[in-house]
Order: sequence, then C-alpha cells, then structure tokens
Amino acid sequence: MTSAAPTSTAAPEVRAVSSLEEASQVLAELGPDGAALAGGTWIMRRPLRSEPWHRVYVPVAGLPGLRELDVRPTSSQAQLGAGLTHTELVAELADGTSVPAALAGLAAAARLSAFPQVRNVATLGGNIAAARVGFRQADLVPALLAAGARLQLGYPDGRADRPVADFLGEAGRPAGEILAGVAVPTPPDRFAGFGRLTVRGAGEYAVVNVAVSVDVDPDGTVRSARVAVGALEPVPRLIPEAAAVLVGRPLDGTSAREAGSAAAAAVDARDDRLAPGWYRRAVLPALLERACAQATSTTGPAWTATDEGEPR
Amino acid sequence: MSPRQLPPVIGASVRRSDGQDKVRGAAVYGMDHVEPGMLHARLLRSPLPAGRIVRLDTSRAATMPGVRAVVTAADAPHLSGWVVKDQRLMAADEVRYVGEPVAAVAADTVEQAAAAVAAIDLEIDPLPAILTFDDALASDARPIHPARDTYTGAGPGGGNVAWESGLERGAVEDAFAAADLVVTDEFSTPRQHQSPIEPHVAVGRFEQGRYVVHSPAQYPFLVRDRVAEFLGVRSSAVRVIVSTIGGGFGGKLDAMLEPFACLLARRTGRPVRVANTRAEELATASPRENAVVRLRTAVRADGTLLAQEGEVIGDNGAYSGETVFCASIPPVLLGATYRIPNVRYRSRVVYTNTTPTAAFRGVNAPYCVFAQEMHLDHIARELGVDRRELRLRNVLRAGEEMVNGQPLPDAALVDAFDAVEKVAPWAELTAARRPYRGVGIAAVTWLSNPGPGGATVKVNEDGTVTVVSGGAEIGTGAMATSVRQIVAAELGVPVEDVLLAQTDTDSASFDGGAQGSRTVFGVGNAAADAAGQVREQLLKAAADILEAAPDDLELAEGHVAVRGAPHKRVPIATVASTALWSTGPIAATGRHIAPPLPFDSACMSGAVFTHFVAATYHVHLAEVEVDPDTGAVRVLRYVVAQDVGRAINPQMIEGQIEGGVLQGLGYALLEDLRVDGGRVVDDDLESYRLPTALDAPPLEISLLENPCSYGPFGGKGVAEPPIIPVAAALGAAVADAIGRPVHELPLTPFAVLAALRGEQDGVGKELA
Amino acid sequence: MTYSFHINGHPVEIGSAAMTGLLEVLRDELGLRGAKPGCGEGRCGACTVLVDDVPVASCLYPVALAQSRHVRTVEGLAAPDGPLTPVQDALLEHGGVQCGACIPGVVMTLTALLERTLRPTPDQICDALVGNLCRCTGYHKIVEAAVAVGRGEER
Repeated sequence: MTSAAPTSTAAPEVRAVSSLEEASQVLAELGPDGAALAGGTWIMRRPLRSEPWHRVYVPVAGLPGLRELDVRPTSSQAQLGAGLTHTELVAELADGTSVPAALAGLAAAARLSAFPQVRNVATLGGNIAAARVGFRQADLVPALLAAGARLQLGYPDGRADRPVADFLGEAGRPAGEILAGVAVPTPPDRFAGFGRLTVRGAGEYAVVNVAVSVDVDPDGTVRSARVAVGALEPVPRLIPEAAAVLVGRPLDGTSAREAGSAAAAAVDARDDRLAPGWYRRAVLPALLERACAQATSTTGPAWTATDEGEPR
Repeated sequence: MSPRQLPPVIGASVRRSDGQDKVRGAAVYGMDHVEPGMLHARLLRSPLPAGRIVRLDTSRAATMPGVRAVVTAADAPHLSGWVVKDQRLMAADEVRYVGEPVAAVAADTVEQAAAAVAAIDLEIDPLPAILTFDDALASDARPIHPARDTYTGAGPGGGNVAWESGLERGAVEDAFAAADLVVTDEFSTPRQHQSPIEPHVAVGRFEQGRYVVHSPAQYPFLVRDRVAEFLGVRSSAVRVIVSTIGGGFGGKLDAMLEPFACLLARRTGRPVRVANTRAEELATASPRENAVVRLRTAVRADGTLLAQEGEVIGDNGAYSGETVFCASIPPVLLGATYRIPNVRYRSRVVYTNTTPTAAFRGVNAPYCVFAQEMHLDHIARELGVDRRELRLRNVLRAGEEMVNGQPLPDAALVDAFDAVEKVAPWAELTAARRPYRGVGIAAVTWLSNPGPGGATVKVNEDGTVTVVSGGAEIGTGAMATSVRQIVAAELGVPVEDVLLAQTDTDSASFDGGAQGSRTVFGVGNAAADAAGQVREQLLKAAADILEAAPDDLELAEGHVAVRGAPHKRVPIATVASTALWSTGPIAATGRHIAPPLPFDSACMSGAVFTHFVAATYHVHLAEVEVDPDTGAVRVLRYVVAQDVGRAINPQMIEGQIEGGVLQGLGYALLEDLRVDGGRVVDDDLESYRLPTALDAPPLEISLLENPCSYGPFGGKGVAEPPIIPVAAALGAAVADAIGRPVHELPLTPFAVLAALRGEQDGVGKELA
Repeated sequence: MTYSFHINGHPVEIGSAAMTGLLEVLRDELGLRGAKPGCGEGRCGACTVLVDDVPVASCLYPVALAQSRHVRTVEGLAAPDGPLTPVQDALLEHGGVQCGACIPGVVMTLTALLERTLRPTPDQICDALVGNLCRCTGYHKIVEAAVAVGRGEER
C-alpha cells in the first residue's frame, strides 16, 4: 500500500509487529521499500507479474483490531476488520436472518470469489488494497462501493475514515497508511446484491462483477441506490448513471436491466486476455438484474422479473 | 472366448498398483525426482517468432555465480525429428518461433541459472513472421525451412507444406453432377493444450559413458532415440527411466527437456534437472494443432451421401513433431463412419512461425469429427431430414468398407446408436423442444494404435510374477490394472501378485509408447504372449513334480494342478524355485504386432497411416441449454455409448470416458490457446481455462463389449475415443439451441453471445 | 530469521527466506514432496495443504505467515506404514485416481471438507473442489468417493 514503485531485488524480509500503530510506524519509515502483507495471495504473485519485491513486508492481518467484527442487526453500521478472510466473512455474513440485508451483497461477493484455497487466506483489506494496484476483478470492492462503506485507515499519528471510492480513486497513498477496517452502514430499509460472471462454473476471476444496494420506501419505491462494477475498467467504481435509473420507482427486472444498460453505456470496458470488452458490456443488464434479484430475494420487496428471463 | 469362459479377473474393477503411493503423496513423479549434487538448468528462449541470430554471446553468463555450463547449438549441432529431421536442440542461425530454445545454462540453483540466462547477449535480426495458413501457403511465401526438401524424412509437399497426403476413390465428378444437393462448409478449430498437472521435467546424468535420464515419458523409446539423435550418439548410449507420470495426453510422447538435461550433465559431470514453468509449458510444449476443415458433399434428396470432397489443413508450427505423421489420418477418418462411395480428400500440414504442435489425445479426430458432424447437420437442415435419421441412413454397417477399402466386419455403430437411444430417446428429446435448449448427436469410428510392443514376464521364486515392459503408466491404469489383470488371468495368479518393473529402456524390449489407446491392446497382447510361454514353462516344470503330463495340468489359484484332480497340485512358488535347477528360471518375452488387414492402398498418397487396427465404434449425445443473456452453455445431459472390445477393468474405462469427455468439453467450450503476433496469449491457467469440477456434465455411459479377435481377451483401445466426438455433439447441440450454425470452436460464452446477437465473426475473438 | 511451526504435528524450525512459498519449503527443505508444484501460480490446487485445518495454496503462502501455525500435508494423514484414511481409501475404491498429480491436493481439500461437513452433497463437494484442477478423471469418481466417505461407506 505504498505510492512509489519498489526497487529491491534481494530476497524480501518480513518484519513482525505487534500493533497497528507499530505497523504504521514501520511502514512510514520504510516508505516505498515496505508494504503491508495480509493473506499474500496477490503479493506472492509479484514475480509472475514481473514486479520486483518490496524490501520489507509487514504482516498486518492478525493485528489486534484488524479482526474485529460486529454485524449485529441492531447496530446502524457493521464493523468489519480488514484482516478477516473471505471465508470468515462468509461464515459471519451468510446467515441472512440475523445479519442486516445491507450486507447481503458483500456476503455473496465473499462467497463467490476465487476458490476455497484463496478465500481461506485472502482478506478484506488485501482485496481492497490489491484493487488499487491492478486487481480490477477484486470481488469485495464493488460490494463495498455499492454498500456505501467507509474505510478506516490507520496512520503513524492517528486514524481517519474515507469512502472506499476515494481510497481507490486517489493517485497515491501516504506511506504508513494501513487499512484497519471497514464500516458498512446497515439501515433497515437497505437491500444489497451482487452478481458475478465467470466463463467456467467458478474458480476464476470474474469477467464482470456488479453490486447494487438500494434504500426502499415502505411503498416499494427506491429512494436511493448505488451500483458498482468491477473487472471492466482498471479500478472498480460506482456508476451513478446506473443508480439514477433505479431511483424513484420500484425495483424490478425492468428497472434493473435499464440500469444495466445505463451502466454499459457509462463504462469503458476494455478487451483483455480474459474477455472481450463488448461482452463485458453486453452482459451488464442481465448481471445487474441478477444482483437486484438477490437484493430483494429474502427481505426486500417482491421481485418481478423481466420478460427476458427469470433471474438465475 | 465367450464371457462365461473368461477368468473372473477379466472384467473386475481391481485397484491400481500405484494407487497407495499416489494417495499418500509418496509416488515419485518426474517433478519429484532429485539426485545428490543435482544442478538446475534454465533455457534462453527466442523472444521473436522469426529472425536471424546476429549475436549470441554467452561469455558474461558463463562467469556468473553458480554457473557450471552454458550450451548453445554449437554443442548439439545435429538435426533430429520424430518423423522429419528438421530441428536442432537449439536454434543455430535462425529462430522460428517465440520460445524456441537458443541456449541453456546449468547452475547450482534455478535462480542462478535464470540470472545467467538473462545475462546472455542475444541479438536477432527479425524476419517477417508467417503466422497464418494463408500467409504460409501464399505462392510467394517465404519458406520457413528453405532446406525442407533435403531433410531426412521429408514427406510429400513443398514450400511451407510440411506434409501432404490424400485419398481418392470412385467417380467424384460424376457423383457431384448427379447430386440433388451440394452442401459446402468451412470449419476452424483452435489449439488445445494438454496441460497435465505435471509440466515437462527431466533429470539427466552421465554414467559409464552413457546418458541416463529420468523423465515422465509416455514413449520412452522415442525419447531415447531423439536424445541420441540430438546429441549425435547411438540410441543405446541413452537410457530412459520413466518416473511416475503426472499426466501426458500426448504431450509427453516426444523428447522435450531430456536432451538438455543430458547434454548439461555431460558437460558438468553432475546430474542436471530441467523443468518447465507453467508459462513455458503453455507457450512452448506442443499443443494440438489449430486446423481448418473444408467439406463439400453431394447428396441425394433422400439423404444418401453420394460423394465428398474434403480439405484439412493443420498447423505444424515451426518444426515437425507427430503432426506430420498424423496428416494421413483425416483422409481415412472422414470416411470411416459413414458410407461415402466417392471421395477426394487432401490433408496438409503447414509450417508457421509458431510453437510446434504435436499429439493430443485423439490427434486430428476431434476437429475432423466436429467438421463432419456439423456438416451432416447442415445437410439434414437443407434436406429437412431428421439429423439422427440421416446418420442411420448412411452409417457403416458390419461388413461394409471404410473409405480406404478396409472392411469393418465388427462395425457396431448401429449398436452404439441403439444404446444411446435406449438411454435418451431421440424423438422425446427433439419433441420436447424448449427455447435455447438443443440436442446433438455424433458418431465416430476410431482405431487402436498399431505400434509394436514387447513384454517380459518372469515368475519369481515366491510365486509372484513380474512384468518388465516399455509400457508407460500415464495414469489410465492400463499398466497398473489391465495389463496386470491380463497376466493374472493367463497364469491363474491373484492380480495382487502381478508386479510391474519400473519402465526402463535398458531392461525392457521396445514398446510403441502410451499413445493412441494402445497400451492394453499392445502391451497387453505382448504380456499375454509372454505369459502364454511362461505357462508352458510352468506346466513343463510342474509335470515332473506332479508326475503328470503337461497337457493334463492347469494353472489356477496360484497353483499348478492336475486337471480333474484338484487336490493334486503344487504352488507356483514351488514350481518356480524347483525349476531353477531343472528347467532353468521361468521367464519369457512376448511380442505384439498388429496383424495385417486388407485395405486399398492404391487410393492413398503420402499416407503413413493407412488403416484402422482394432477399430472401435462410438456414439455421443448431448443436451444443452444456452443462457440467452450471457451465451453460457450448460450441459444438461451427456450420453456415451462406447465399443470397448472387452471391458477388462470397467471402472478404469469409465474413468477414461469421464475424463475424455471433460477434456472434449474443454475443447468445445473453453480452451483456446491463442497465438497473437507469434506469442502464445494464454500462458497461465487463468486465461487458459481448464474445466473445473463445476464444469463436469452429468454423464450416462454404456460400455459395449465387441471383442477384437486379436486383442487381449478381446480388448481394444479405449482411452482416446471419449474425447473425439464431444465437440461435435456439443457443437450440434449448441447450434440446435441457438438456431444458428456453428463453424468455429471453442463455443465460449463470448462466441455464443456474438452468434445470438448476430454479430460478425471475430467479435468474440478480440484481444487487447 | 527462523520460523517455527508444526508440520503434521511435529515442531520444525525453518531458516528459509521469509517470502519463500510454503510449498518450496515443504518440498526442498523438509523433504515432503507430496504437495505438487503444478502451476506455481495458485491456480491448480495440486499444492493444497491445510494451515490450521483450512486448505491453502501453499505456493502462494509465504513461510513467514506459517509462524506458530499447524500445517498438515498429505504425508501426515495416514501413518506411512498404517492404513489409509477414509478419503484416501475411497479415492482408490471409486477409481478417482489416474495420473494422481492432483490427488495430494484433492485429498487435503476433501479431508478439510469432511472434517467440517459430515455428509457433503455433490454440490458442496464440487464447490470445495473448484480450486483443485484434475485433467484426468473428469471429477466424477472423485466426487463419488467423497460422497461415499460422507455416507460412512468407508470404514
């Protein structure tokens, strides 16, 4: 999570620390030579990406504070430590009855991502951090963006909160900044969903991932909405054009597909080895429909599919 | 032999002899083999698809830390090749594909070797790369091998055509003139990579004046000969010891890294290990060739096939492996399943500046069958005839001749159609049509590779039996179960008492390799022959002990017994140890050679492969559902009827079918080893998508026993056929589901959605 | 820097460089060559081992993170001279092993699954196996084996 390119070619060192503050301090001193290490699944592939190692890695996932979790339905927001693994998130968020509906998209993203061997070690914080540096398919990130999550960042001299989008969008990050946790607002009338498309059954990067969350009035009208997509552009992002389509009407298959079309029009989906850009755009309406169907599947408003097909 | 008379071990799903080691993690694969003092090698590979080497300076690399030797073409200047001797171990003056070895370094560690490789000064003057068939076949095309015609083993053809073969029978023009309908199609298919879990690896050493190499080799005798040829020594100067093989599928038949390990071992006096990274494996380890198939067929209004013209072009890549050899299969294969009285087929293998291609399970057949079956569907559509009915009208019946004039006395294609029908009635499937659902059906006649084989069977003094052969256990269980079952059946010993010696070219007689579904057939026959001789030796030695005539004795339950007097018997262990001093040790070497079969050689030209030995017959059916939103294809149902000759180990055969179908599904729907500008695009397992557990379709399998008169207990080859008709069956089902013809593979969601939305060809093939 | 952790119940101290993959340490330092380097990029699952009882891709797991943890490999399941575990035995009984290069990883994934889920369904088994590529078997017999273990058909 450093701003400048690392330069070291020697075997990297791992420096254990005992607190978030210490980690922050050490990384601040190291500057571009250091980076935080969580599950390691992204960093360990640096040689495969022809990226040099940093000189020093500081393990952070197990630090006190990074493994906190509070998803009580009575709280106005959920608190998720950055060191939680995808598997742990699934275990904590999968129970749809006692967990706020606003977290359903994040739960699905954690559950559908990668495969067990990666989910068991890859962390919430690592997913967010990697999304800044090339991992545009990071599944948790669109879900966090759509959920309106705020990142809790630690620094040598204190802490700060930032919206996820700001963290992803700003050019550089200060040395010593550590992702400590995520706060996700959980208003009772917020419903969230996630859709992920792969070529195979699973076990690979998403060709497209899309997340949605909506705040719904008692009469079923969507009061506000957020739509985020990943894998299409260099960094996952919110698509306000798509969200706008959902607002002021009930959430159903038709509005979801219209929003998907708006998203398709708004994104710059590029070709890469994994999928052609036109395809990534083309599937957005259906994928957003699936995400919206999930958002409303348990506790949300009744779902009406489009004529174009049942949600899967 | 009727089923009643079969020994019970034939048809038993016995466990594999290597199974315990494999599930305990104790089996030593090629990738696990280590030796004391072992060095590690890395290769410098060409970064360009075509060019002249203007500078190659290894002096700096040679002085790097840990470096023990650096070799280049000057150290191994000899031309070699499986069929056509058109390649050196390392590029001498010209590079012809991205990834072609140019130099090799042995060092104390892999990292040191890699650092030294990076320090080699290589300068290449680029040449225009020839990457497509059109470019290669253009009349003014630069010849990729100007010396082509002078190569030992050079075949018919010329220019950039590495090999050309053909087959012509009957009066083609007359038949086309008399046709009610003429249908034309062109199909193109991608490269498919074998991608075994274990990449290529070899550990070589130099010992007593000879090269010894440990390798997960499918065809150790070929590897032996190729190492010798590359290094300019006679073949007996090379010994190949086969490790546990972590998958092959054709990719580990030919030599690849073994010569490097040997050359560097000789140079350093130390054992040397060479291993491909996964990226090297995908980029340089010869895949199935991409191909184009053009078919033009004359038919009568009632659906009778009258004549067919066919052209098959396969990509050889920059150098010749087995692909040139296989060029003569398509002309026979295209006319091996259906009655086509008048044909003109041409098959060409073309040099390009791309990674050399080679064998992959089923060699050319998956794309030839895909093309033929999609073409038949096209004909059915044009005629308004039911697709299955069209096939039954033209399918070869028992006793009819294939296109090469070879009679098929045991053809069981109709039986296979019937077996599929019993499981999945066609009328029901096609009547219950729903949007975006489709069915496809495809048939094929295939062969068992006729390569020769030998096996030695010896009876140990404790009554166990050891089989020494060149057969390689690539995972199918052919050696680890079936050959042992055959020997157990011949000698009346428990299958657990039949042991396999490690495969070693020093101790085994020649064997034609684990290829072309031939191990049970070829090694099985040789082992049965040896076991038959051993049986005679045992009976003769036991005759003295039991005071009976050998003709009155039989082998059963680990004993030699007097027939009709089962209490008068002696354990084989006693016979074997007594025999040491009476008749001598009990051992014999058996041989296998495929019998000559009648066919019309006059109709063929340039054919290395002329006819089908121990032919087998297969029908596959697929039902799919296409997601109109995403183009994703879901296989709802997959049905296989396969002629297996004799099901010696039904469980292992099912395993071949389940695995082969999934590889075929990969070829049909997922796998596409793309080459862009001469570079392999898909050089990791993220974009080269191997099927996962979630992609395996529900399978219904019927094994058809149709014994081969010259196979062991009636056995035939079973391992290749399951991959062959899969792309055809799935392609037909997808075309049926989307209401549009299919002409290209793979049917990725991108390609299917593009077809559904009517976009032009190539929309789904865009690259960054 | 040395790292101390448990391998198959036994404490070890490892002096490898911190970001060395656990797979390399297992194979080259500890002589445990059961886990396979199928791809080295965390995509084939042949190197799967259990760290604190959950499957991880050991090629992507820095040895430094193993500090104080319990690592289990295929070699640690059954005693070398003892009977196979139910998962190992079922894979052979059901014909789920061909070349076997993926099998050490498959065994570890299924072992972890069956320790948590007593009677997994075929769908649960496939979900668990999606990170273990097998090029030989088509997966059917591997799934059958796991179902059989869950049903208690294996000892």
